[in-house]
Amino acid sequence: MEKASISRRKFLKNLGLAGAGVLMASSPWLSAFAESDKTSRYKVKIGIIGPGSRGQFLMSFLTKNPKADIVALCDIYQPSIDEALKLAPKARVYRDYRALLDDPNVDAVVITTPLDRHYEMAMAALDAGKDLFCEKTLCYTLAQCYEVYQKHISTGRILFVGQQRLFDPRYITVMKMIHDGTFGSINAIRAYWYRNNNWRREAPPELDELRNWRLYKQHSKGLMTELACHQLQTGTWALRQIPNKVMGHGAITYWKDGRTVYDNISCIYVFDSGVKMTYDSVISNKFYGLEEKILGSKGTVEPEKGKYYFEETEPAAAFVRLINDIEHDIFDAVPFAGTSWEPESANENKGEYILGKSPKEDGTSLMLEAFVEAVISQKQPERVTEEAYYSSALSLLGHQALEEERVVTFPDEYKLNYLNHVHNPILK
Amino acid sequence: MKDIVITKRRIKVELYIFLACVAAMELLNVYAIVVEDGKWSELFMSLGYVCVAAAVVYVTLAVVRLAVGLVWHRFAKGRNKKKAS
Ligand SMILES: NC(=O)c1ccc[n+]([C@@H]2O[C@H](COP(=O)([O-])OP(=O)(O)OC[C@H]3O[C@@H](n4cnc5c(N)ncnc54)[C@H](O)[C@@H]3O)[C@@H](O)[C@H]2O)c1
Repeated sequence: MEKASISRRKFLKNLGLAGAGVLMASSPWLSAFAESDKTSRYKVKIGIIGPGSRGQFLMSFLTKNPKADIVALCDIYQPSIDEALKLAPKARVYRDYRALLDDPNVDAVVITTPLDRHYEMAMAALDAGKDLFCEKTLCYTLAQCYEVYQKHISTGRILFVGQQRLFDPRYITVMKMIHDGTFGSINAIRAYWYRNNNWRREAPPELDELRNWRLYKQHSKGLMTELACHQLQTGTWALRQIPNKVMGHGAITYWKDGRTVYDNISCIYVFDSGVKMTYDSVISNKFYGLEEKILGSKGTVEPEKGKYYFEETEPAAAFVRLINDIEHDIFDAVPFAGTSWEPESANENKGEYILGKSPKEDGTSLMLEAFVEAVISQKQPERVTEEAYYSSALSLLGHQALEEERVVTFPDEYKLNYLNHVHNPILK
Repeated sequence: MKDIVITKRRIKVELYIFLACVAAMELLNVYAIVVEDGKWSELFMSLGYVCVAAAVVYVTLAVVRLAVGLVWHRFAKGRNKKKAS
């Protein structure tokens, strides 16, 4: 396995060589790059709706892509417009997203507004015939997500959601290993995101909701839609299954500053096989950071750390073991009875890097390139939207379980015909 | 102060003793591979451990030989004195 950190170019080259059968079997959306050699003379004209912090981050990649041109911006907050114009000085500025969507010069739009705005903007964009990249979480409710998904199908427009892990070389590589059975059967996933800050931005009272939309229930579902959404998707990707039940609890235990979203959550997702994926997030302690620990019968993966660990490590050399045995025979106290139990102390094996020590990519740049390629070729990459739909759906169902303090089952009417799910409309 | 002279013969003897230690440890390695179910490639892969163990054995032997030599030296000196008187 290649250990060195790989560049984007090299990664794509590897895809070209091995991609068709090898990586694409576990990450079929990489087909977006299939025609990238033939599309160099095209330029996609993009409009950005809500170029705040995330929007500007995405713009920083799009401005470097010779196949993309940011021609329009829309925001209701002047400082966001001013910053965005530094990245795309020639872009037209709109105050109303509908006016941007009416601009025939715009081929595709990127939506990076607060969560509660996504639905109306996404529906309008698809209706206006624009290809769409919408940041995660897709929508504020599951019903809205489902409608947007259906609109994408009925209009035939390209739809991507900001799930960058799908394009992260570390995840792509390790998911293939998981699917090949390298780590045995996966029976548990422990995902968490811990941080120690209040998530609050300085803002005058009249702008508090606009700037701190993440902290208020009417705009966001807090930790579930802002953080969990990314990590739950890792579980469905690894297991190639969608969990059908979720239970959990949420509370505000530390940041009692007027926010209405939880700062302390814990959920259990249950797959049909009984395998469980847990999700925890606390924002008053950052010691453990974030991770999705994928626990297989033969090994463990920590994709965020970029490492994997086998349960059975190579034994030490026979010579060393013999010396150790002799040493133990001489120096160890003689037990008066054999132990009937031994505690399982944590494994201290240092593991192996999936792709070298310090990968620089988190997938965002490749994800945007894939979007641009898909818009040019007008080919929706396989499964990219379904994976994203389910990560949004699972985070929203998790939030519902926290709110209602009950076990929530995935509603049949919002299932897609995907993996273990079969859509089953409510009969009226 | 008297110069310490290390003769050619002494160096040869020490070298032979060290090589004997290495050989003994390599034999122990063979035993370990059989008993501990190791791989035969460890005959070469574990040479580093074998050499370290050989050095430890050699140093231990040297200390023992030095002690025995000193005692022997004293004993011989005492007998020579008695003979002279
Ligand atoms: N994929 C990721 O890793 C990731 C990371 C961060 C944020 N996000 C997502 O990106 C989105 C934006 O997050 P952010 O951190 O950039 O928020 P932000 O508050 O920094 O930016 C949102 C922007 O939208 C603008 N806006 C609000 N209402 C609008 C309207 N009606 N019309 C036009 N503009 C409007 C705001 O003025 C602001 O400039 C969210 O959905 C968030 O979940 C994704």
